[in-house]
Amino acid sequence: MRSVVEPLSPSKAGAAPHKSILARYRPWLVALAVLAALFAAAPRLLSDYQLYTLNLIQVNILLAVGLNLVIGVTRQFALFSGALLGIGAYVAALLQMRLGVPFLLSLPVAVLATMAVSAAVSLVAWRAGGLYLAMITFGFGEVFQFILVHADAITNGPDGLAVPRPAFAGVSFAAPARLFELFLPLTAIAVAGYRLMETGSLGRTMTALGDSEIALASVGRDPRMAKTIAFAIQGAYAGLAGAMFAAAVGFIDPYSFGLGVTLQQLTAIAVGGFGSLAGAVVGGAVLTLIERGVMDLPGVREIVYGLALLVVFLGFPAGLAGLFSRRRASRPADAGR
Amino acid sequence: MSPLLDIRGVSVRFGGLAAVSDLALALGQGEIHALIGPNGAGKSTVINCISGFQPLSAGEMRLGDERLGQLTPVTAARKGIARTFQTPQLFGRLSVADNVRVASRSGRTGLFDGGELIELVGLAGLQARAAESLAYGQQRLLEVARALACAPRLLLLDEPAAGLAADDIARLARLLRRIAGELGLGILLVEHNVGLVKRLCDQATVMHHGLVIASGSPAAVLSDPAVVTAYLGAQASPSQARPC
Amino acid sequence: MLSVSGLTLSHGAAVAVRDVSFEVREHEVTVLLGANGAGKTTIMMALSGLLPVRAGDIRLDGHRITGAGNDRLVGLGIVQVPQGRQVFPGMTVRENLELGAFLRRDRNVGTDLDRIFAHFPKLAERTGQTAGTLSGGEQQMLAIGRALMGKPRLLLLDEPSLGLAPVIVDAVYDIVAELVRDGLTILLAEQNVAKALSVAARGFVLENGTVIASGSGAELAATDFVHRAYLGSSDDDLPHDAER
Repeated sequence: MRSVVEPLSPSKAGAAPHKSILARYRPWLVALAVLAALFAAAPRLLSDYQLYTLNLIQVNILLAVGLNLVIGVTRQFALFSGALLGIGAYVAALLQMRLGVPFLLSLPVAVLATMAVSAAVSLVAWRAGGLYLAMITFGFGEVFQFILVHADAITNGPDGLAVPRPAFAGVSFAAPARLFELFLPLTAIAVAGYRLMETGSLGRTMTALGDSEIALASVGRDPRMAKTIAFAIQGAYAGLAGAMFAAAVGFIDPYSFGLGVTLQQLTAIAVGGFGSLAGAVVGGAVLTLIERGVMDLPGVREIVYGLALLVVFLGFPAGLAGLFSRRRASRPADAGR
Repeated sequence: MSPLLDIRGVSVRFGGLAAVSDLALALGQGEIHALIGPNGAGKSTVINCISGFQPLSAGEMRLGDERLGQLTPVTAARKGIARTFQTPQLFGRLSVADNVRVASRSGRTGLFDGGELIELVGLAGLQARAAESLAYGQQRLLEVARALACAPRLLLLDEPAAGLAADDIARLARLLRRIAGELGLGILLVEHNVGLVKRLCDQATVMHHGLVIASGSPAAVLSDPAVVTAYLGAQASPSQARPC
Repeated sequence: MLSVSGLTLSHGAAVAVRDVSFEVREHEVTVLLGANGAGKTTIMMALSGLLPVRAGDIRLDGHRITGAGNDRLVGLGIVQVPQGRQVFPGMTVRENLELGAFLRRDRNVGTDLDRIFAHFPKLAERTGQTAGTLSGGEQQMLAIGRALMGKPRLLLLDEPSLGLAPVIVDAVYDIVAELVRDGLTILLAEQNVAKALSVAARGFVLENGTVIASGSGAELAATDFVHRAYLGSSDDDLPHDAER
């Protein structure tokens, strides 16, 4: 055997020049400034109705962010967002109503409970993929709704529950403005947390899972574990969204948590751009506005959703988020290498 | 000393079809072993068995002193068996650098760091490109880098040179020779580039219809009449190298 | 027959092919050579209307066809055999072939099937078998056969030797030579330089998306790229190549 071993060429010291700290964190600082301004100004300038809409927008953003991880990033076709939202909402509401747990304490319990259920459903995704997973999770949503309707001793059945207005240490959060002030930091932290996850090693694993399960297994990472983590994270976001939804609306019934919610969220992340966090945020907000705008016109909502999907898929298949990243990508960076 | 990989009596049946019959193969540390044969001979099935993607119908495999029982892809990888695929299976939306990062495990010293691996396979300058935007040959090279990032003891390569240009094949050959020599990795590769097999490999096993029809040094195996008929074709005289 | 001038193509933001000009003459094989990522497949995709043209001009018999869609180009007789033998695995051999005649309005499909089976006797034995169960070589034959069912004037062949055993590569190239003798025009992209030059009348070499050499087969053989390709397959030591 001939020796062809050569000494290692010294690795090139070609690291990218370090950006200044300010430049590096600029997007975060901008976001923080916008949020602070919104936090200070919105309750003074906007009507109760508008603030109520902003609260619902946050609920839908959280739901879309979670669904986007599972469908857009890891590409597990799980269709039970509505049920997860319902679990969060009912757990939070029932804890407050039946056990007298304060709202702020009911939030983390709702989050954990929804995480646990979602993680349990992920066991199905260990074996089934594609259409089977879609059908099984869809079935789970239907069964969940059935239980809500028929376990009326606990859930008050189809009549629903009037959720008490949150109050904490003597302070009432009944007014939409107070809820907004409570929700905005929660939503901001949740979205920022997602961003950190997405850009870290867990986020890489999530994308890798969606791209090739086989390859992920071949490098010793268990795709099943990755699926369970993705589902659990989706559960956490949906659980938080559910608890917030119950508090914002003040009334929940089984019909608020059906396939309609799931399909609305699916539309939101499709319009925003599958896999993109910015897309989920924008999509969740836009869809809420559409829904609020055409609320009193029966049937129009579905038509508008359909049109939105058509426009996005025909015009810019990467979604609204794709518009921005395309502009960024077309800068003359390393073209032609 | 027991060989790094020892395969005995391995058979795989798909329904009534015997894809691999009674295969025996041994691979030492630092050895590069070619698995060749016509398309459909069962070569990829062998790779799939060793990497846990295909259950055995019969037989046994050992890695060093350890008996490999029912392997899953994940357990195989954790025991130090890394592989590439006949059709590249990359993380398409991730960058070249991130593809390698997903594979490199902290707590276990890699052979090289990720950036170095990417350079060694010849993808320097493409670190930030999405894997799905690479040309086919570049995807193959990235798969090799990713497999090496797992810090394996045994490397299984399924047609690593397919679709590669001569320069890239030469670079890949040097890299494989080097990791086998310096780090004692065992490498089993399925390859149709006879020139590469001759230059690079220490041993070769030829399969046809699931059976081993020849094994030994590449030069000897490639001049075996049975191999010439089944694999090389009548016009290719064994002494004449097929350019890549 | 086909003339390309100033062709510039990009994947997203990255320019993959820049200002490429070449001609394909009737009744001969023109070959595109080049390293991985040089832009061969990108050009093939653009010529078959699967990738938008950013700048430049493509003409067929003097008529401008730049920007024409895939269906129109197939109608004009430009048919591609994509890299990696993309047959419909769940459909039978006959169904795959019949799909190739999808755009045709005439009724001679039956006669053409016979003609194809004459070229590919192995396929004739397996008309009812699903394509997924064919060996790699048979799938490549089927992919070519399917393209021929579209009655092409210009066949675009992207790496027909990819992943095939030497004996099968020979068989595929025998068929390529036969088709050209029968009057077909072929544009071929290939890493197997020796095989490609054995059938090509002329060709050109791409590097980083631009043409760096062109000419007859003999002229190309004198280029550095082709020289290295042959060198890389010699039985001598692993060659030294210029580091990038």
